Amino acid sequence: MSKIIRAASVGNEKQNADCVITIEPGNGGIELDFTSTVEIQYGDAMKEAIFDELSKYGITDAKLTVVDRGAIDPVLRARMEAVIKRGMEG
Amino acid sequence: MIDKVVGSISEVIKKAGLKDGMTISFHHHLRNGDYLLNMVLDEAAKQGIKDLTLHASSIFECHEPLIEHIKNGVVTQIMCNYMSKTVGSAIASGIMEKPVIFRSHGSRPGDICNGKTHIDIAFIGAPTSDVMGNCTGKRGKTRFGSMGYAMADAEHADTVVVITDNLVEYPMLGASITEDFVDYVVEVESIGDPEGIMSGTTAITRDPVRLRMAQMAVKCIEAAGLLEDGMSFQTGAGGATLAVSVYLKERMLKKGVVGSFIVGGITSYSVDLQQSGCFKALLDVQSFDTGAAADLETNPNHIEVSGRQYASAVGKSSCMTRLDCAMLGATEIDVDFNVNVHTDSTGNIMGGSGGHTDIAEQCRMAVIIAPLFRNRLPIILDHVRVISTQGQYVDVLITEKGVAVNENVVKENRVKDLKAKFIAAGIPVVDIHELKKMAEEICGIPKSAPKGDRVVAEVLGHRGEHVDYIYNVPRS
Amino acid sequence: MRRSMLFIPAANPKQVMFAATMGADTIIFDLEDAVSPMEKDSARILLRNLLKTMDYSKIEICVRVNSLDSPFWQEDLEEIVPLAPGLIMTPKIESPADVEVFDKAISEIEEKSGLEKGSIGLVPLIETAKGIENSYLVATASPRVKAMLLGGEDYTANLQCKRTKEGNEIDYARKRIVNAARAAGVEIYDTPFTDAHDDFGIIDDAAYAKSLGFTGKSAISPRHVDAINEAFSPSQADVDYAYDVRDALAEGKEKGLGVVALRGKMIDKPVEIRALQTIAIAKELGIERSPKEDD
Repeated sequence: MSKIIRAASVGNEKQNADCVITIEPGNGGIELDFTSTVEIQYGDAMKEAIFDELSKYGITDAKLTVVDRGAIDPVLRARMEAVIKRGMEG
Repeated sequence: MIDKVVGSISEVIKKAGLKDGMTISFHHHLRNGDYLLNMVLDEAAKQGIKDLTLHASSIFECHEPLIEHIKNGVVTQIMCNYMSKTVGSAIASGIMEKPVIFRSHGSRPGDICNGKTHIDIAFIGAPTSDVMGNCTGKRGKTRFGSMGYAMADAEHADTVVVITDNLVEYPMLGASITEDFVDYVVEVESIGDPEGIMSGTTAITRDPVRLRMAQMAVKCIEAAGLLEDGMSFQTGAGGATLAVSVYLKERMLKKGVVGSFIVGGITSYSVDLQQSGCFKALLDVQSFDTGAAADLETNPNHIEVSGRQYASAVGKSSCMTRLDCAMLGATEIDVDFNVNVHTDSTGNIMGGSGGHTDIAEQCRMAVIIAPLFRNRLPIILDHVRVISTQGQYVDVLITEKGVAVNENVVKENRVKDLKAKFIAAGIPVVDIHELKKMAEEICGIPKSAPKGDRVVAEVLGHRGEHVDYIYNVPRS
Repeated sequence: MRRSMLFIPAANPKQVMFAATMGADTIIFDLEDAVSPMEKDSARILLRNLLKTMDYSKIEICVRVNSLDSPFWQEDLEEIVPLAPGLIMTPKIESPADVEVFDKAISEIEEKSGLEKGSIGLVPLIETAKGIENSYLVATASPRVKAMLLGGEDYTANLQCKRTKEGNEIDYARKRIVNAARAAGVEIYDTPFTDAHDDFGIIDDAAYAKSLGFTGKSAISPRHVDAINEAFSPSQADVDYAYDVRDALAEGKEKGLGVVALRGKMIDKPVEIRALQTIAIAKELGIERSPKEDD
């Protein structure tokens, strides 16, 4: 099991088709604050991808904020992977 | 001697006899800088007038105060051709009992001229007017150019009020609307905000994807055999469609083609095409930017046309009758080529036909330019949420991944065998279902947003016929 | 046929997503100058994900990794090589030794990922005075080297002179590097025309590069791609020759000939491939074969 040990963020907030994700150590679980311009159409799929990426790295304890502006799945997952790796670094 | 000049809007409302239940009309050449509609409705509300029908050609963001007037019962019905998103979302949420009636830039004057819609009082914003109501949009500090959309109102309303911020002595020469139609003239400090009037829609996109689609559009025009002497052309003022002008000019000059006319909303780019010798004339129903408005005043080959001459079906003919090709946009298009320009993908109203449906139905080749998806939302669907323009009038869809040709177009004047012509010219023709699939492979299949069961608006077509209904967006 | 190579910043999702629609023959996804040091990690991951999932089948993919003097190049290779891009562009190459370092590192990853060894081509970016002087040695340092690219900006900085639109300051480098590349039998690409807002200067600049012998030209603005493609497209004579090759081969096949010759020269496989590519491009560009003269 891996741990998020520091706050980190990734993504460009001014860019369409991108999303901004911040991560920080959690309080004993996953806390997700999710907003998206396509929440109705893709919200469920995106949340699934977010949790999938967390479990890939064995993250069970983290606070996440995702502000999405229409990122497609590989972009969202890339942002998740980058922010998790940054948060796990010492 | 008649004295038409009235001191204030408050006074003119009384003199003109505005009463509960009447229909008042406005035109939208002041676009997002318009002060008129708010000034008149505020005054009507102050005087306790209720149950008005607002017959405006378009409603913009600056008309947000309208929402209060709806809630307070001052306005109980709206008719328009376009409605931007703030008022549009309020309508979609169901604040109004009677559905909004959406017409097109052609069917609005059409229905006024044939008596289907009666206007009690028309309010006309004029950047310059004389004391008898001879007025123009070509001069004055709030200059907006063509007055085309106001002409049917002026000719058919029971009472016509000109509101100006530049009152000049009689006679003002070169009027667009003349005194024989005008009852009252009111001078106010300002009829609009010049910045909002020329709302910055006419900058060419630098987005390389849009530019590539624009280049493809010119290839399609040429492949269809339309890039020839005498061609006529129309383009919108947004995104990729405007960029077509730039590439078209390049190609026309290279090939030495001299076209006949450009019609519609006229921009500086249309002016440039005309002045470079690519087209002989500009037929202007609405001048989109300062360059176009200035040119309208001085260029004898750039003339103002009424909304009725521009696009309506009630005259003996219209400019559309002779239009070869047009570049149009879409927020959604379906596999039958039906186009939605009224709502976004969640059902909120944020647009309208404008001239879209008139142009598509009448011109020889109607081209929709749209990317496969915008911020993850696919543009091509099985069914559009609202049909603004029926697929049977839409000839071509250009995307960044290929060009789809509609083989079920019913127009008699359509360019025949487009698909074969495009393929022969090396244009990447792709079935629209295939394009839809490409987008879904990248974006995933979107869940469709919930649709309410209450009609909040009705969409009418080029001849004023019923096309579709718009339903409310249920609030969660 | 590779005429245009367009740089796309790897950190920008939208630009990477739409790269295949820009009209360029090759896209160079840039992990180097276009990506800030803080975003090297995220850009690498983003690029890897998009290369895996988007359809780039209609273009050739090249990835510019970071230079040997940076702490990033190994991780760049680890992430990108397993995806088997056609080409890796290596910046600031000055000597055969530089090529060998990349060659070795790529070979190791190829082997680890089960890729055919040597399947990924190298495009050394030559952008220093020393690199220019050594360009023949660089081009012949490894069979992986498929092409070289001249980098005019860094090169002029290294020369301690000003980069101008006219480009007199890079004239020697252009001629020298074309000669070196041709001597080594690799393709050679010209430096980008850097004024993104000048849609006309690019036409002359590309024509000049073509006249010097460059295979094609790189671009940093998508608006320059068409001008480059036009300048480096096959001439009418090229197109006619390609059709003659195709016809001769078809005739030979009909007669059951093993070896086919045209104008006294044997048509081997590369000539055939080249001819078919030329015909395909000609069709795309609407260049038709000249009408046959009556004998």
